[in-house]
Amino acid sequence: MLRFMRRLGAVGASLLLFAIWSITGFQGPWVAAAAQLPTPLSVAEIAAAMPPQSDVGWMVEYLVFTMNAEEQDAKARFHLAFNLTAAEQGSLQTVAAVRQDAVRASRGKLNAPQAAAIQLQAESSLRALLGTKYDGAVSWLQSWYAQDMAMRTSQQMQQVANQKKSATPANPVARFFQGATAASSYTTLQVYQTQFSPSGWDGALPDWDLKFATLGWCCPTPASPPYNTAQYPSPYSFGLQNLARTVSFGQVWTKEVGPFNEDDNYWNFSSYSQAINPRRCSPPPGYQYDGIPETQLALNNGYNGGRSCVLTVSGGDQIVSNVAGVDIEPDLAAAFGLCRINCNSWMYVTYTALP
Amino acid sequence: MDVRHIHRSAVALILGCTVLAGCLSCTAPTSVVPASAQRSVASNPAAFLPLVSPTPSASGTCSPSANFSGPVVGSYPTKNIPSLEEQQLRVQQGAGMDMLSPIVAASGYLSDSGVLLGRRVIGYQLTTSRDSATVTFCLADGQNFLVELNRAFPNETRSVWAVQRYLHSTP
Repeated sequence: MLRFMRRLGAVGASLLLFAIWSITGFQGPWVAAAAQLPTPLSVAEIAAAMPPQSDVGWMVEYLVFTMNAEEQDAKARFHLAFNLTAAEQGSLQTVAAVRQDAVRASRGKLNAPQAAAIQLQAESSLRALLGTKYDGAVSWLQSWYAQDMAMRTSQQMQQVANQKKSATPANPVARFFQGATAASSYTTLQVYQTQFSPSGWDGALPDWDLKFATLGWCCPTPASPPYNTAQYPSPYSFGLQNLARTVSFGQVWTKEVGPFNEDDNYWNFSSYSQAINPRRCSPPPGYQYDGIPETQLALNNGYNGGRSCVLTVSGGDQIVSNVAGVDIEPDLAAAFGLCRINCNSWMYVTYTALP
Repeated sequence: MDVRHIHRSAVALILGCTVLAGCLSCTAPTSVVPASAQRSVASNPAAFLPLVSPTPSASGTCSPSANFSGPVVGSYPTKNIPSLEEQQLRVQQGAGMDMLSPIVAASGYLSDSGVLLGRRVIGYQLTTSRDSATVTFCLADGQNFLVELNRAFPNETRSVWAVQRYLHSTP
């Protein structure tokens, strides 16, 4: 009996230690793990890891319709490099717009053959426009695109690294088993923005529970992050700011889900494993490229075969046709000075109001 | 307590803590990131991105009733769900992806109709054919809903699902 009591004492001590560890949020292992996070890659390393972009139409669309200063400057340099007249510049914009329309007009048929057909159409239009300058233009576009995307990705990685350093890692075990509500989202990330629907002021992030909770609907999935908790009650919104930080909106309601994915909460770093957060489609925390939307990695790095992810019950399997991490409606886009429907940009999205 | 017993207790404590720490470290990110994955970045750029295995969501336990009554015919648009054409357009634009899932389309419809508000779904069953699907939801309060859907645009390879009608179990 005495021996049993002594053994129980040892077990009890272990349990006591476990309880103390739990209360303090398992800081030890998590902090230690955070210190081992991969160092952000350099621009050159990111560029070297990207295969040459083969979708000429997408590169033209990105060049023409990305409204940030760097990309607009590149567009001007492209016009100069290939001596494009004003009419030819207009034709280039038409090539980009036709590509965008073709993606929309595909009526959801953007499987591999359809994507290839759209790509072929853009190539032949550009070839007709540029003639003998076509090959040089494609090389120029591929070189610029790799450098530009590497620069953007590097900025994203640095933002993630900085926020990882300053953030207190949440306790995913507690979140999962106890519905704890510690915020586990990156504060702000720079992602590519596109537009959807004919009009409106709402937005979409790739997490369908956000949409459901915001619309006051039922039935959260059996997964963290916890939705509709007292600390993070729905409806949910995100903040949006242009990179120049001249225009910002504090509350963009997540009344729709997308772009492309419905299970890719790339901003949430509670998901150390899919057992804890099965809603993560992009690489989980701890991997390089954590915090970057799956669409961007699919299109630039061939991640997941270049397709949107097939998770939970989505029936995905779409060829990703742009790198967007946030979708907004045209009235909101216009408030940022963007043209309706066609104009895209890199923006800061703030996720602090999300669960 | 003699020294021997103290020694045994200490060993037991250390062992217990070691096992506990081992269990905890199982969920830490270091275990999800193989060292080889990080080392391979410079030497083999193509190998550093991990492929994520799809994880199906748990369906929970759902043993639906055999007796259903109704039906209630589905129609669009609803309060928060736009017309089917608008939904299909959103899918083409990269948004509205939840409508590609019969389960999510069905639960969204019932929620927006008000019948699921404030009620907890504990499981579901799904049967699909090429152009139609049946989803049964089991609620925590014991009631079941059976929802019949079809593809709104059967010629599309990625058509949104539309609720045709739904039935509810009778007590």
